[in-house]
Amino acid sequence: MKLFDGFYAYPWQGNDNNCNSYVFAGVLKEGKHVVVDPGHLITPYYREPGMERLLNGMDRDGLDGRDIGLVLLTHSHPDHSESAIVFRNEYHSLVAIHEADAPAFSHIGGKADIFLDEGSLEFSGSRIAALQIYHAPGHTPGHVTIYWPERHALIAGDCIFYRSTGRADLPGGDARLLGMTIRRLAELDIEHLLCGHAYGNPGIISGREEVQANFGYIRDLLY
Amino acid sequence: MEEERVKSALEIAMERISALPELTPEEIAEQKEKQYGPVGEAVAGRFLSGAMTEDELPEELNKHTDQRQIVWFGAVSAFCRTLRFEEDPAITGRALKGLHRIAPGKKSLIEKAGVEFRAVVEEFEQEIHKEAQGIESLVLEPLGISGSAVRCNPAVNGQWLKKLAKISQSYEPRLEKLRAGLSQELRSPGS
Repeated sequence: MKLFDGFYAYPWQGNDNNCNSYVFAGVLKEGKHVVVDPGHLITPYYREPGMERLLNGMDRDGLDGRDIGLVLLTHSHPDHSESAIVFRNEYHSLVAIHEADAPAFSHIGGKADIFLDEGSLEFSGSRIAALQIYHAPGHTPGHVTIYWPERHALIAGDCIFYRSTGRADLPGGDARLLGMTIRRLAELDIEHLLCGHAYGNPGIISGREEVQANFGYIRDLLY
Repeated sequence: MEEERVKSALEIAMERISALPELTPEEIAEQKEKQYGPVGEAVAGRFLSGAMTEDELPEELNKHTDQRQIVWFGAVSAFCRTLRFEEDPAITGRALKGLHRIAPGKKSLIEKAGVEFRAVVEEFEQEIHKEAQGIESLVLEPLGISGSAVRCNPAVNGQWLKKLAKISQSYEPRLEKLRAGLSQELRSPGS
């Protein structure tokens, strides 16, 4: 699903748990793409083919999954990162994750070519101005969010959902840090909040007022 | 006529052993080294793991009075072997403390070896840091990725690992000279 010029969203529509994926199309050299959180290869309970559905979705948008040059992971949980292992092994894509989440990623067989720190991320082959990576711990120690200032869009991973937040009770989770992270992200100028899961709505919250209302709801209810 | 008796396995073995030539003094020394050297290494290992205090170390080494020199040298060798890049610096530091404790007469020599080792490590790390900057261009540039948020993880890069091994090997003769020199100087308990 095309959200903006050169940017696609693939909200998960299966029955099992899996994440939403996002693609910056043709932004790398030789027209290669960047995928954020490619999700499960196969979901654990209903055995739904997560990666295959992502590739089919990309194919419908005229994007070849074999041209994924870089996989950005918001965090290490397998419902976000499992397919990254296949992209790396089969398509020689580079995989990027925060160093604090790299050990957990390696437990499921993942290898990180690039460590993500808080700062700017640029793709020289694209018209996209620099993205901003924010270290956003709480759901996991090395969780990151990706902010696209030009479009006022935040890829939030599992920090914040529609009227809800990511869990802080899993290993490495920290509710206090998650609260701080959410308060910090609320300061950004966000017009499109691109969540990691389709919980309660497709996971894409658009419009400044709606995004702020969502932050407000969470602040009032949880923090 | 007396009936021929069947020999036991032990008798056959003893006959064969008695037919063997006597061991030379060198062979005896080699056997003792093989037997008691690991005792010293094990004592050093226990000390390095923190299972033994600095005061207990010489006591343990001196227990083997009949083969004291071999046991001692086993421990010295084990301590000297920690002078390598792959070793945890805390372990190397503890090994130097162990050497200080068992050879107080060679304090300045051990300190000098420690300083020299740290200088080699620093030189190695500087070279690695310099070379690591090259890996960024190797990995990120082909895809046009840049920015302050990205940092290469050299540990998964085959080309980098080969380069690292090559650099490490180039320092090995210096480290080997350092280790061999130190263990030679501390060869006997009287040192």
